[in-house]
Amino acid sequence: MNQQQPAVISPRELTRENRLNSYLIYLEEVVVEFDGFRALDIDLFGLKFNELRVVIGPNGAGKTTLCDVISGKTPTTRGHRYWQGNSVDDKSDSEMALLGVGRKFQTPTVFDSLTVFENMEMALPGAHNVWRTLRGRMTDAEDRRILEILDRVNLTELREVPSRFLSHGQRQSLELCMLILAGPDLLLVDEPAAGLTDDETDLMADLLLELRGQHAILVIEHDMEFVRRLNAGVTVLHEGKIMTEGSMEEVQQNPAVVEAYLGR
Amino acid sequence: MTGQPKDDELEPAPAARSRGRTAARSSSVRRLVTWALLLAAAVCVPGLYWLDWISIETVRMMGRYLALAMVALSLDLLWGYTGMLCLCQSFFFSLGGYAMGMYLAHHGGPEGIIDKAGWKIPACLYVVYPYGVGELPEDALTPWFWKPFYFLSATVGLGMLIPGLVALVIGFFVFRSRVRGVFFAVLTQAITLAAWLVFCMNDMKLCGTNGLTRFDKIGGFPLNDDATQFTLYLITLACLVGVYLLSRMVVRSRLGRVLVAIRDNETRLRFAGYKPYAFKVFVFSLSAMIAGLAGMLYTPQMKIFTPTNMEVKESIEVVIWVAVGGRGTLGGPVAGALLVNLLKNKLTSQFALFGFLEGWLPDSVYAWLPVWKQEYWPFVLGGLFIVVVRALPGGLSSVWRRLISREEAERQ
Repeated sequence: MNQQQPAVISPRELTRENRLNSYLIYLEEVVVEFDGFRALDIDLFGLKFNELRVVIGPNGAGKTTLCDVISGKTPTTRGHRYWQGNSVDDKSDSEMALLGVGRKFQTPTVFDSLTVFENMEMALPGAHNVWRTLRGRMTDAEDRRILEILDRVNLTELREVPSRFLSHGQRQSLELCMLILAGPDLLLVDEPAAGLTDDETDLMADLLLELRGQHAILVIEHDMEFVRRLNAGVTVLHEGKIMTEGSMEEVQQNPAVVEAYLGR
Repeated sequence: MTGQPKDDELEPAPAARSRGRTAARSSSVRRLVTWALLLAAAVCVPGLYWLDWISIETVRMMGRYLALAMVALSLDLLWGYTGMLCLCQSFFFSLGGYAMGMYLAHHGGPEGIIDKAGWKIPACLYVVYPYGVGELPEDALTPWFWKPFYFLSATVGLGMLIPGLVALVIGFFVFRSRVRGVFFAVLTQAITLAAWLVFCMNDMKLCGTNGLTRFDKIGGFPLNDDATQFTLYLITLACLVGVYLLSRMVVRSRLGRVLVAIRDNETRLRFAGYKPYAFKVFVFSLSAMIAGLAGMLYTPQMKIFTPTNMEVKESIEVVIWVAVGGRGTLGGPVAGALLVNLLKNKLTSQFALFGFLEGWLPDSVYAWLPVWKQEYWPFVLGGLFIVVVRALPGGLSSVWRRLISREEAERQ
């Protein structure tokens, strides 16, 4: 791992205008409360174009809530969201998806009754309205692109199999393939390595590394070995707040982080 | 595929003729069966009628059942493919039925009841006309909303348009607020019940619980004529084939796969950038229009249309047809509707269970043998539903599919 450690520039070091311009997604004083319980309380959080960032934190730290906020699934109690400098406070989940936020859930969610290929078809970019889907025909280019992506994760052979027959790891891969095909600007990946075999974990890390530079990627992960392999900037969440941001080494040496993880 | 997960019985959207995959053979065999079924309806019933083996009454009955098969098909689009159990089907069916019923009542007998505005008041309305205080029989007027249904073309249009629009409005509010699953079923049931209560009210000038009767002519042809009834059968059959082809086109398009995706995981679909409610509203309206068309074809072959056709239990019967036939397939609901209705026709009449023994046994013994009574029918229907749900979640078409796949396995 001789790659240069990516520098995480704290949003505080930039002016507000600068933040709006340079961040793909930018959260400002975002608070999310569920029945008075403060699940998320983020002062400033930004993700640059094509940046790979890992979010770690103990259980209940608000990692998934952060994803929910960015993807528009959970409305914020207070605060603002900006997408490429534009306010997206009122955008719903499907609108955020059309803007370019792709999401991979913690448990792999694919459409069980559809075959692998049909699942990929659902993820094709383009107009997703009733009329277009009724008339929708697949072009050769789209067909080739789907097979190309499936080939990368060894799912080509299984393309006609309904996805409910796939293993957990294959479903994880399929879901990531669907995301890649949709070509979002921002990929939210929630615990991609959970429940995978070692080989599958390696494949997943390779895939994410291949994707860096093409999309901004936000990975939530528990597996520290996996995080180290990704060699990316790390944000530590604790009790809904951002504890620190930096490279893996910096974060691991931070006494507050160690305390949060190991307890008193 | 030896391991059989629990939802194996649900058929994925058929996906033939798309690149990157090949058409499954079992689906082509099943399609053959569906066409054979339709061919039987197209050839056997008219053939037997011409040979005088069955009466025009039987042809009329088969025509009605074909119309009901259309309702089953419309529910299957919602329940089988999109995963929404809807109990509004009898309501939409009745909207179409009432439209055609009003047309037929306009052109029904007897002559001579003319109101002040010069419109002939339909006889079935005249006999139950809700007079206001101090109104006399000569003050009865044909209500404004009866007037468009004087014309056959307007009736045919409105009979589909009205259910479609009603479904559009209901769907827009229900699906936007993300009402799903059992709540949707209960809500649609409540809507059906409310509509039934409204149509039962005599003040609505829709003939109340009496319903629409005294039909005489359709498009100038006498309704009691055998040739007219036979033509109506053929029209119904043609419409069923048309609806079947339309449904097939829908479920085979990418939209069909979106519908199945809604059934599987609606939340995931939203994150893929789809707005599921738009697709749900679309399929809900389409289904309502199909049910309305079925109602329009049913009325002239039933020669009466009353609010009982709109009762909630009628909707639940549609659910049973689809469950018996096999939801998530197109041929299944058609076969299910025909089979259950033929069974119903047989079992709601009284007959001697051991009729073949008559004359062989002394009359005193024969009189003691049990007789089938029509009161037993609800038990059969309920039992059928329980058996299908417990033993055959995929309905009859899954039995068929299993037979085919076994045969194929042996061949290989």
